[in-house]
Amino acid sequence: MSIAMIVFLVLSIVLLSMGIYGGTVQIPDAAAVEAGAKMPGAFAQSVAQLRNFYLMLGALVLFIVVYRFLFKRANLKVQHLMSTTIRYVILIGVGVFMVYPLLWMVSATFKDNNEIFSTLSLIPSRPTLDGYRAAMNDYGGDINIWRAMLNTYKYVLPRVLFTVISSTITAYGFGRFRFRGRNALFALLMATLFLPQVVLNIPQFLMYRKFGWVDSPYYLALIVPSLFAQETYFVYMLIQFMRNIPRELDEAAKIDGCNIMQTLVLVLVPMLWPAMVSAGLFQFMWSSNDFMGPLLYVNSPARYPATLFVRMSMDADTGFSWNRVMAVSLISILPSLVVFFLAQSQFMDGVTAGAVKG
Amino acid sequence: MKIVLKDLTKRFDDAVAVDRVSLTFEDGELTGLLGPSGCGKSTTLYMLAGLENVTEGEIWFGEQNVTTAMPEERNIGLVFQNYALYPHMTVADNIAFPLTNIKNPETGKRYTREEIREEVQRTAKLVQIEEYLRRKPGQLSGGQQQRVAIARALVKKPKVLLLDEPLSNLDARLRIEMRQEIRRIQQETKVTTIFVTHDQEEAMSITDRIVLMKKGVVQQIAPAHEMYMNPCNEFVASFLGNPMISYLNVRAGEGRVALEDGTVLPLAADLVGSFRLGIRPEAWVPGDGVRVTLTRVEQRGQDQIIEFALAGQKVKAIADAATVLRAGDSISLSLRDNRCYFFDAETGARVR
Amino acid sequence: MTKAGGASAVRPDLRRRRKGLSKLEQGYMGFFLILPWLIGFCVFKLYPFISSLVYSFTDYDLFKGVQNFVGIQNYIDAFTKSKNVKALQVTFAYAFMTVPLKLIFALFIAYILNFKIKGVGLFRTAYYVPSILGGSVAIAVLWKALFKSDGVVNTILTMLGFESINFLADKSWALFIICLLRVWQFGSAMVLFLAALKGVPEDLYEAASIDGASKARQFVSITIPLISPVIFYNLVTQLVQAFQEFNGPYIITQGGPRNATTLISLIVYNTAFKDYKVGMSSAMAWVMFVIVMVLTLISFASQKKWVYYSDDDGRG
Repeated sequence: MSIAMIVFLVLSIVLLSMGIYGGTVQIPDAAAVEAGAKMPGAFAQSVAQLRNFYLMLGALVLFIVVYRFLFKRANLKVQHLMSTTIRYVILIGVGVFMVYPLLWMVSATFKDNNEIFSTLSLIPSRPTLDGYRAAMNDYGGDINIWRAMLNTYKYVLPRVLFTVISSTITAYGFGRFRFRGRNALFALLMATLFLPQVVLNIPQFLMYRKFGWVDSPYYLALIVPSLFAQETYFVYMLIQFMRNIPRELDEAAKIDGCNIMQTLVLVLVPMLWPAMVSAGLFQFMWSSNDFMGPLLYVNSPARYPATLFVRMSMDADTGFSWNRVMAVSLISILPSLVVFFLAQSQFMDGVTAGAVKG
Repeated sequence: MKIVLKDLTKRFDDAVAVDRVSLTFEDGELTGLLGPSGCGKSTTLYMLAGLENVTEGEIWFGEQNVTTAMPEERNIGLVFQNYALYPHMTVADNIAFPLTNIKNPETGKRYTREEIREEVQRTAKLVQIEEYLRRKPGQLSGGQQQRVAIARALVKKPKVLLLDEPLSNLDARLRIEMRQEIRRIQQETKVTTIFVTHDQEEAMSITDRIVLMKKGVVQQIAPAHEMYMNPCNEFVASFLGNPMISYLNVRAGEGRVALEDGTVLPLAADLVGSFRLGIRPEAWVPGDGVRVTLTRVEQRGQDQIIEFALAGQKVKAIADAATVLRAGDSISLSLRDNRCYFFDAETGARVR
Repeated sequence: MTKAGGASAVRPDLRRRRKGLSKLEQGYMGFFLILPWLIGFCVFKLYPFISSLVYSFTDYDLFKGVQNFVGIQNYIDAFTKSKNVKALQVTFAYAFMTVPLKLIFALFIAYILNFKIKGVGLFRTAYYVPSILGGSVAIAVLWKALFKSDGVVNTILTMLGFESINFLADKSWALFIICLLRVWQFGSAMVLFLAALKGVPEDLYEAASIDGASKARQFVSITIPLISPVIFYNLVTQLVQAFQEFNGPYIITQGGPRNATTLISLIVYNTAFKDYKVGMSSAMAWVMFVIVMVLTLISFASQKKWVYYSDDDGRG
């Protein structure tokens, strides 16, 4: 047996012993103490409290040792079976950890309040739409969930549109043209990738306040920057994508009589389309989930988008009707979920395209 | 190291890739596994390496049954078709890599830095790649990369050296140079070597013996010259030789051999029956035999390839370059019967 | 007289105006195309960036607007006031716990998924969904519900025989919960690792196997170096994002209990919008920015040592 295995074996024995020892320690309750029973020492107490933890950890380590032992002695087929089983166990285990919170959220919206925290089951024993009914509540008549959702898309949709258009045009300029200072400006562009929004928030707030954009009914503070291709990540992604489109196409278009914009729209955009769609999808997700932006620039409840509304509804009734809170939360992310599931492959491609090029 | 394969078989679902192959490779031999694509030669090689599981049969390295042993336990060297050099390591590190995983057989302990450096130097010198030790594989040419791959395979002094189509990625001139290199290296190290190729010229030029396979079955095992002169069936006869052997349907009897249209060939034979006659291109010599009209002539500088028809069947022959021939010429040809082979019309097996 | 070539000098009727733009005009056109970005950059990024630095040296108040230069007093406070120091500690702890954990999980799961697994797509989606939703308010609210003192997680704990823990009210646990929220979102990094793993040629592993390398050795000597660009990318992006985390702590714990989960971004926000001290807030923001910059630069500088780029073999 290798050294590592011996260490593991010893470790598991230690852990299991501690667990067993902890199980034997009696911690007398208050009445018994009064009657004269002595409290065990601090170490014993802590071991007793954590005994289940030690037992589980010890069992896990022991399992690893036994597994290795059996594995080395198994023939090829059995080995294959063992590793495959372990893989699936891990994947499913972690998968549950990933997915359970979301499933719980959905089921909680259909449970009534007493039941939510008392069982783990994902099926409500008495399904009810109370949560959803309460979700329709409007707080002082100014804003309800539907209004809030609508408000969200009032700025998300323009933002997506403007981002895609402006980023494409900017990527076109950087990617296909040589002009004085291009390299310096490109370096500047790259630098903004690392510029944290946190640093800019305050001055931007002060500036927008002067412009009168704070609490604008048209969400100007949120929309206008996207007209100017200020989401650097997408410009970068589109430039990378454009690198893969041969320049000969531009030249062929020129020979066929296209001017600059026609070349862009008629030749490049069709080839760039998957990247543009990816960018649009990502911007849709990010903007829908944007919290800091609305937090700073939307003040009147009537204009609250979904993110602010969800928080507001949580603060409003603390501790009582979580099924309502869950329902509101679920509704707020539902469009994003739907978009994601419809466009899954574009998402994956978009994520990898940006990064794998290095 | 003597290698023995006993009834080695590999099945993929329904298809049999390697069909009960039994072979012996003597210690220090350079053997070529030759055959067309899909004949099972690469699969056999990979089973030898341990990268493919064996369905049935046994593999013995010397006294050891290694049929189920893992690749890392077999102490072999393998040169991949694409070299599979580690792109992020220098040439020196690539060659050194095997030594970092195994124990030094002489000291029984792990290799020290010094020892590794020595061995890498020694092997690099053997394959003549010393100047490139600091470079990375991406900076080397195809031929150089291959030398590195060979060095990496040999550095641990393996019992067996396996090469998978080592020359197919090189250009024509380099191929000839490199195959001589492989031969030289093998002779210096005397390691039992097996290499897979589909190029018959390659196999013939450097091997001690050729194993010719077709559809998972071994057709013939023989040194190159022997296999060329004495093919055991049509497939073998067709596979070796460039230009390819030509076939004529003939009837033999009463000591004579005649074509389907009655033309008698200048060949003596004491057979009776219908056969396929295989005639090597170099079997035709100027003389009194048959008169033919040339349909095509290809100049090769050192000789000419001529084409003509006999009884409606195409025949290729090699003619001396002394007289320039042209299509349409009419010439008289005779045969050398030691380059003519009779095959059974149905089975293709060699009859005489 | 334009240079129109020999032919048209002889036959002027053949002289045609060159279609399209000259190189010079082309250059201007390109600049014109990026002009919106440049304007936006100056207005929305450059100006705020510089003002922020300027404000950090003043005592600018959000409403009173009073501005006196206070030199580096704000920065001194940033490193001496206990609240700020604590926030820095908490943020560092947060970043240096979540980033390695997230990357390790992502790589581990990507490694397993790289085998021939049935239902790869399903698993991939399951792991990825949290990372697209995770930043949202809804999920933060969900997290609060899960880890309340009578929440689902405590229900599970009591069922397993442990004692229930008041996560959100316990100083050490609260930060752990916030970290957990971020690590739960390892899906985006995992997808990148999976793509990178698939890019490693199979025969390199076979060659290593012949060379006697164990699976572990193969992973360390071959897999890791060959996916190092993606490791680097994930490391830098995750680090930068971790330092800017805001939503989670703000919604789940409001920075509590007793500032145990107050990250720098929260301090920046609260100082400006609750205490109205814009100058101080800007200073904190700049401190954070410099820290992130330094870490990023260190990462970039270290690239040479451990990141392998396939076109980096150098010529000659």
